[in-house]
Amino acid sequence: PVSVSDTGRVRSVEDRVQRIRTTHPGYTA
Amino acid sequence: MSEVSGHPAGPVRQIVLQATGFCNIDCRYCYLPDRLTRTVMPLDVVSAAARALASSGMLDDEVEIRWHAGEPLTAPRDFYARAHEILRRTLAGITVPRFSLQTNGLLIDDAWCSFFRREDVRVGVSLDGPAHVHDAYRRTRNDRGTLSRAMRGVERLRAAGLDCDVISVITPVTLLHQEAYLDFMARLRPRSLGLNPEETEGGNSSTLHRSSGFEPRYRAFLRSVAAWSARTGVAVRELERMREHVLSHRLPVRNTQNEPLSIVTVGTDGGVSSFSPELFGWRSPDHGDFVLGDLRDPGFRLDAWRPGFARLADEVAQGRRDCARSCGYFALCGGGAPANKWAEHQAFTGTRTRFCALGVMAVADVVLDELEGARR
Repeated sequence: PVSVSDTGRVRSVEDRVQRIRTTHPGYTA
Repeated sequence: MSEVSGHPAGPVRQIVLQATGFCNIDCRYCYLPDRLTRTVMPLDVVSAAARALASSGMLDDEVEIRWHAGEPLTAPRDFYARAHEILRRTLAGITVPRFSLQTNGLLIDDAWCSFFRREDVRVGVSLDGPAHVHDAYRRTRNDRGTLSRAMRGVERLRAAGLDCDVISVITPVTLLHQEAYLDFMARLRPRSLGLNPEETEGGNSSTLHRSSGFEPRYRAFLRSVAAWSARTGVAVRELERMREHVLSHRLPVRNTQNEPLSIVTVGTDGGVSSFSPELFGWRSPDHGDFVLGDLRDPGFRLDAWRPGFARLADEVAQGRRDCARSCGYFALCGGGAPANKWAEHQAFTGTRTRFCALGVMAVADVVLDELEGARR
């Protein structure tokens, strides 16, 4: 599975997160 | 964090207690077996569970104790009053228990509302939307709809000044009537709204998974929900969690369903399990009943696992590594839920499930797109 963005580009989720953040452990179930 | 059978284990974040497996209704998508058994958890099982947890060294400052798996309000109020007293007394000085339960709402009356307030119980009600959506799946044993009675229960909560969370199972009927569903929830205004796409689990073969084009249709639904949530201010559980993960959590996030003893499930009979709570009650030739031990065994310890459960832990760990290696969404997911892998693939190793696609990947894409849009 890959993530397709805003730009129509395939970007890694980590890259998309990093770009959002540049503008705590997470527990979930 | 402890180590058990070569696996990092705990701390225990959630304890799921099955007060009774009985349910007074017969939802068409339910995954639970034996919903006609009226057994109520004996108080000596509650005591044994409290002692095992207290001596485990695996509890943090707070722990959620959730009555679930069956309709909890079919068990007597007095049972819960005594069980809570046992749990609070045994865990005093070790952790603070936070009690919650998930109910179909039909049996909520003023006496239950007084109990919820006195015991500080966080209440979740299962509601799927207006009658033509809710009643399509949530039926009585006489095949009648249940919404009108569930809403009477919600009205009693509101009259008592109590708020509630709502969980909806999203079916093909929801997707056909999205506007009516969202209008219903806007009027209801729950404290939070959880969305569970109908799953293939236990005896249920998901009608959502069998409907045509369900993935893109579910994604479109989620985008509508995100816009609706922004407009109405009603918090949607999955979107809120994902926003927190994207904006502020250390990655990869951790899925408590594939970390040993992060969730501890206790059945009415004293059997103890972990990982996905749904596993309790299922069986496999290779793992037995997915139970790590029995509280009625005098030598029971939370960190001494039966061979079948140790094998399960090995396979769940391998499945998580498979996800980490091959799935682009692992950072925001933490690895697919074992119950879904087992129900869809009959294996705990391996990766993507249809639940992953709807319950995690689609949510991630909607939130990432939303936050990228906010950057422009």
